[in-house]
Amino acid sequence: MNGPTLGRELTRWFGPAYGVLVGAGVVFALVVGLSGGSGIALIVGGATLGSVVRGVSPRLGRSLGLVPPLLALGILAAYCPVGIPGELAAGLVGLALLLWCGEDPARYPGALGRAVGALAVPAAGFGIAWASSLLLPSGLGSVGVAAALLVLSAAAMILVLRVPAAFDRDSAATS
Amino acid sequence: MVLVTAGPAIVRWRPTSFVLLAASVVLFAVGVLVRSPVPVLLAFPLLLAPITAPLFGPRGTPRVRVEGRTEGLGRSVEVTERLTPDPPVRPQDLEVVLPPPAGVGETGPPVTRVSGGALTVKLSWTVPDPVVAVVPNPEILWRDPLGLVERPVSLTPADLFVERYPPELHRVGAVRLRRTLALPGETRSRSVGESGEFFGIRDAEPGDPPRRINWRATARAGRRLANEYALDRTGDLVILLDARPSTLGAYADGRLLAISRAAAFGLAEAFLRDKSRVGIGVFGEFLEAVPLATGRTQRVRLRNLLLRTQLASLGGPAERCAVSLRRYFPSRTTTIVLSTLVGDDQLDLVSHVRRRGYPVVVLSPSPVPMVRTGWDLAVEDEELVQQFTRLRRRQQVGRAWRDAPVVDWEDYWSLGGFVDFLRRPLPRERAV
Repeated sequence: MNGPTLGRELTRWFGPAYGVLVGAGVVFALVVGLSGGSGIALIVGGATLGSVVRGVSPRLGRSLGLVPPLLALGILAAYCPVGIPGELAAGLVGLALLLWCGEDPARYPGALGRAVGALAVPAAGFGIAWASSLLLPSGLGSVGVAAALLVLSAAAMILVLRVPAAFDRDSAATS
Repeated sequence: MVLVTAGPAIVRWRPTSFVLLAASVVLFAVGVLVRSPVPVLLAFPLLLAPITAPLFGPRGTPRVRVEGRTEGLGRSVEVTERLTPDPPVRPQDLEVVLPPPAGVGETGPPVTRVSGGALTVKLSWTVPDPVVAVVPNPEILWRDPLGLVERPVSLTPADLFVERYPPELHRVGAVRLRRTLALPGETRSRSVGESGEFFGIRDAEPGDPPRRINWRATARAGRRLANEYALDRTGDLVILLDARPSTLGAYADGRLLAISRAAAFGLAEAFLRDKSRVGIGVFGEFLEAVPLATGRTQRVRLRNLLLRTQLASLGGPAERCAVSLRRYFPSRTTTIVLSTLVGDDQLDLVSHVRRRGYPVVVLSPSPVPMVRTGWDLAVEDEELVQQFTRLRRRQQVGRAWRDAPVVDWEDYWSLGGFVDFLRRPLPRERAV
C-alpha cells in the first residue's frame, strides 16, 4: 500500500466519530480515575484497535471491530465510582459508541451527520433512565430502577427480534 | 415491470445488533455484581438503539430503479449503474454489492457518487478472454443510519450484457455464404418484408408499425400508405458449438467453451447485420438449436441460447448431433463448427456433420496457451513440453483437415486468419 492510498485508508478508518468516541471515553476514564492513565490508554487503545479491525475486516466480519471498545468501556464501567458524573459519562460514551457504529468505512461520506439523528431515541431513553435514577437515593434503588428499565428493553428487543415483520406496514390495495 | 428482491423483504438485524445485545446483557450482569448503576446506564442506549433503528427506515419493501450501461473497448469493461430509490429512502442509505460475472475480473474498487437523489456506481472490469455474459443484478440493501438493521429492496433490473469478441468479426459479414435454397443466396429474394431495399408502397394495415408508414405519400394521397421492402439475403449460416466434456478437464473445457460462445455470438451478430439467416446449435448430450432466422429478435434468441449454454456433464455420440441437425437446418447450409478437436469424439463430430451434407469449416480454440505443467521444471524442460504439446495439437488438427478445413485459434483476441480464410473465393469460383 503506497503513501496516498494508506493516507486515504486511514482517513476512512479514523473519521470524526472516532474522535467523538475517544473524547467521550477520555472524559469517562478521567471520571473513573484509574491510576497512571491506564484508563485513558485502555479506551484509546480499544477505540483504535476497533477502528483498525473494522477497516481491514471483510464485510461480514466488521462487527467484530465493536468488541475492543466494548471491552474497554465495560472494564471502565465496572471500576467507575457511583455518582452523577460517572453515570452521565457512561451514558454519553454509550451514545458515542453508537455514533462510531454508524461511521462504517464502507459507507458513503456524511454517515456521521445521518447517524446523529438516529441517536435521538436512545439518548431520550437514557435521559429518562438517568433522571429516574436521580430521584432515588444513590445505591441499590437506582440500580433497581435502571435494571428494571433494562429488563423491559431486553424483553422488547427479544419480542422484536422474533417478529421482524412488526415494522412492516401493509401496502394499500390500490397502490 | 419486473421486480427482483434478494431474499425475504423484512427487517434483518445485522451482526452489530447482536454484539450490542450481548454486551448489554454482560454489562447488566456486571452492574448487578458490583452493585453499580454505571454499567447498566452504559448498556441502556446500546440496547435501545437496535430496537428503534427500524423506525428510521421505510415501513415496507423499498423500491429502487436501476439503469445502466456498459462501455469500454477491447478487454476493458466499464459498467455504470444508476440506482434511484423511491422516496423516502435516501440513496446514501443503500448498500450495493455488484459482483462481476464469471470470467470477468475487477481492476479497481467501485466508485460511488450520490447526486440528484440517485446513487451512481462505476465499475471497472477486465476480461482476460472473449466473453458473452449477463451482468448480474446488484444486491441492494437498505441500512439504517447506525448500521444496525438492513432490509432487502425490490429493484427493477437493467438488462446489461458484456459482449467482447475479436474485432475482426465485424468485417466477416461480407463473406459469401453458399446458397441453400432456390432463390436466396447472393441474389435478391422475391419476397417482400420489413427490411432491405425499397420495393414499393401499399395501403397501410392495422398492424403496421409507425416507422413503416410513408408519411409524405400518406399526406399526398389522403390515406395511410406503408413502405414495402425487398428482402435481400446473402445466405444461411449454421454455427455449431461442441459443448461436450473432453480430456482437458472441467476448467479448460469451461474456459474454451466460454471463448467459443463469444466467437459464436460475434459471428452470428456479424452475419445478422448483413441480413443473412443465422441459426445456432449447441451439442452436449443432445442438440439444442435455434432455427435459421434473421433480424434483431433472432439476435436476442441466439444470445439467450448462448448465455444458458454450459459444459455438458455427459457427451452424446457425434452421430446423434448430425442426425438432429437435419431436423433444424437444411443440408448444404454453410456450417461453422466450434470445437476444441482434442479427442476422437470431437473429430468424429466434424466427419459426421460433413457426411450429412453440411459444408463445414472448423474454428478450433486451441488449448495450447492454457497448458501449464504444474511441475517444478526448468525453463528448457518447460519449453520442451510446450513443443510436444504443439506437435500433438498439429497432429489432431491435421486429422480434422481430412474432413474439413480447420482454423487453429491460439490468439483468442484475434480472428484475422479465420476471417481471411472465409473471405477466400469458394473452390468453384476459383476454378472460374
